[in-house]
Amino acid sequence: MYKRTKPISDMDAYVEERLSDYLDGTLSAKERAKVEAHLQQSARARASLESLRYTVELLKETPPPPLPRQFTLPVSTRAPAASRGWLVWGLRGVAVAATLAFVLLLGLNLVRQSNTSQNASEPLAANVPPTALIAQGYSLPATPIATFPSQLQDSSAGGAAATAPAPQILMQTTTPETFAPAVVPVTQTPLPATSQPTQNKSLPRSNTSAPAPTSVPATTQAPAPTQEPSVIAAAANSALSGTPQEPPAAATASAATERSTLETITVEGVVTASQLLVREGPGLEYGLIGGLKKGEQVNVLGRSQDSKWLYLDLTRNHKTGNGWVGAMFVELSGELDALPFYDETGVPLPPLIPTDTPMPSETPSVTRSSTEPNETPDVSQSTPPLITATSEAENNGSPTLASPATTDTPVIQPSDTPTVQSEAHPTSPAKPAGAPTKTPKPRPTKQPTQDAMPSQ
Amino acid sequence: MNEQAMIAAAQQGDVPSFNQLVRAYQALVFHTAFRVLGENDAASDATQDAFINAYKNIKSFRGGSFKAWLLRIVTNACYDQLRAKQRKPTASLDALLVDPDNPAPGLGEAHEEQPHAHAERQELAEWINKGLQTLPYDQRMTLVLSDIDGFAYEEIAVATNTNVGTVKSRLSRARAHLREFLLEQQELLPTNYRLKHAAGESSSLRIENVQANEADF
Repeated sequence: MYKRTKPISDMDAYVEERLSDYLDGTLSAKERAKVEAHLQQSARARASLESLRYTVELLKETPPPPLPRQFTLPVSTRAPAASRGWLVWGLRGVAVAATLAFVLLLGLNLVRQSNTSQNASEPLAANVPPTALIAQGYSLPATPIATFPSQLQDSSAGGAAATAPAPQILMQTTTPETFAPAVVPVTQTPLPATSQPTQNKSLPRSNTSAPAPTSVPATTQAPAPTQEPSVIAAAANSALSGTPQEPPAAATASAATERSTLETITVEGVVTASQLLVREGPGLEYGLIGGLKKGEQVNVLGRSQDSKWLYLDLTRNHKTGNGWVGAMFVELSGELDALPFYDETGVPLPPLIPTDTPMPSETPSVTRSSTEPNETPDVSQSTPPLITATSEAENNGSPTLASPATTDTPVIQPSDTPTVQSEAHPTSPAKPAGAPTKTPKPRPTKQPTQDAMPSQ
Repeated sequence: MNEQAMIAAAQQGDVPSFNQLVRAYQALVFHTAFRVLGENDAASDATQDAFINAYKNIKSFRGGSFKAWLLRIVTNACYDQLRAKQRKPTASLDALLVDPDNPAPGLGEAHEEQPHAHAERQELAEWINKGLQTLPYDQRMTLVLSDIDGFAYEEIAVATNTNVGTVKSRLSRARAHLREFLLEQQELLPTNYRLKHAAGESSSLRIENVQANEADF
């Protein structure tokens, strides 16, 4: 019975140290055999194991704390750069990119003029940038002008040579994200004033087509100089085709996503409760139809009159028909206020009288600059009733429309709007009666975010 | 959109796609931060920092487990919180109390749990939290990642920048410490969750609500 090769106390310690691994099943076969043998003989060891096992079980069972808020990023967040300190790099890249622009521009000019000395081009360059750029509507920080002469000085005589080394210098100091779109100004087509701020946001677009991919900077810069003209052309074409109608700040990338995904006329939502019960009617007294899991996407047709329940089209969730769920457990991609009302039998109701109550949102939101008219028409065709209603109401000049210039209007859909109950929106686009929520420039963002930052 | 597509889009700078990832992981991240840091504000800050850093560095994700990659960022964010704010290791119990009559949404209300059991689980959570805060930081982090988040040793090793052996030993000590804490406090624990452990070889262990099955050995 007491067949041991080691004294009891050593064995106890040996086993005790290994109980945790034993629980996890990570002991070697040999160790495991020893531990089990000891466990059979020692009630104390068994007790210790059980208490340890139980502790681990308690940990696993511990209910998670409630999520205090959503941690989604504002849609205006700048695109990630390959290097750390991306904000600094972004600004520096703009400066250096602009320098490149001039160098290439003048380099081409120099090639045409031929025999132009370096010295002659220098003062020319020094004088050209501000006016040329301003003429092109391209605003610049002062730094590129300062660095420009030095760039030229570095290059050998001759226009052609001036173009070649300059890009090399640029390559070494910028990230590809700033390089590719920076090439755009070189094409000598008048640039929209938004070209500079779009740089950050259009980066993803131009990157997808430019030869400089978004991955490791060092390796991608090598081929670029040799293909310079084609790079310019390709990047310019892609960037230009991507940028013309783009608003200055963030929504470009999101807009593309939104247009492609918002094909239905219902507002989308995501289930936030781990288990969400679906009922036949908007109340606890109604029978259960089924359940939805956390993270499931739902199509929201409307809401109850007290806005505490949402009416869903369940066909998306592999069920038939429609059902009701508690509004606070669904995170909407659109405005709660935009949802039409339904009665308990699933019949749509006329909208309520609109009020002027400002819509509370979880965090303060700031409107974007009002230069996104180009986006609105696209949005209204394929987006939830919210967008349509607001656009139409705005177009009809509803007196209760918050002016586009108000700075407290959330352009990005607030993430948690179930508590907002002030205003209603008509479902049919023609009605101007609904005072739209304070989103005169509706953002077709699929994902609600916390803060809408002003455009850069 | 599956996760890979979301990540790819986010790497191109698409914030809404990244936000879908945020939504998928924020509960896990916050839970981890909360258990490690012991209180709401620090956990919120760490969670937000973690996601911001994740977005900034998303291009450095080269495939594999996104969850594990995110984990590394989370542990760094927690550690930064600890240093920056010099949080005390023992959080006050008041700060941890959750009103059992008004649980926040999403916490299982939809389960329609019995109020009494729910209150007891809340109380348990407070005690687990308290116990966690008595652990040294590294042990606490390891324990949370393993037994609350369910990460594997290798993932934890990467996240905490150590090796599997260190993870195992920290885990072992952390579990033992927490077990001792619970035993000491057991009179204060909710009745259903108490450990009954009598010392000595002759006595056997009785745990209410958990069957100790000796045949398991």
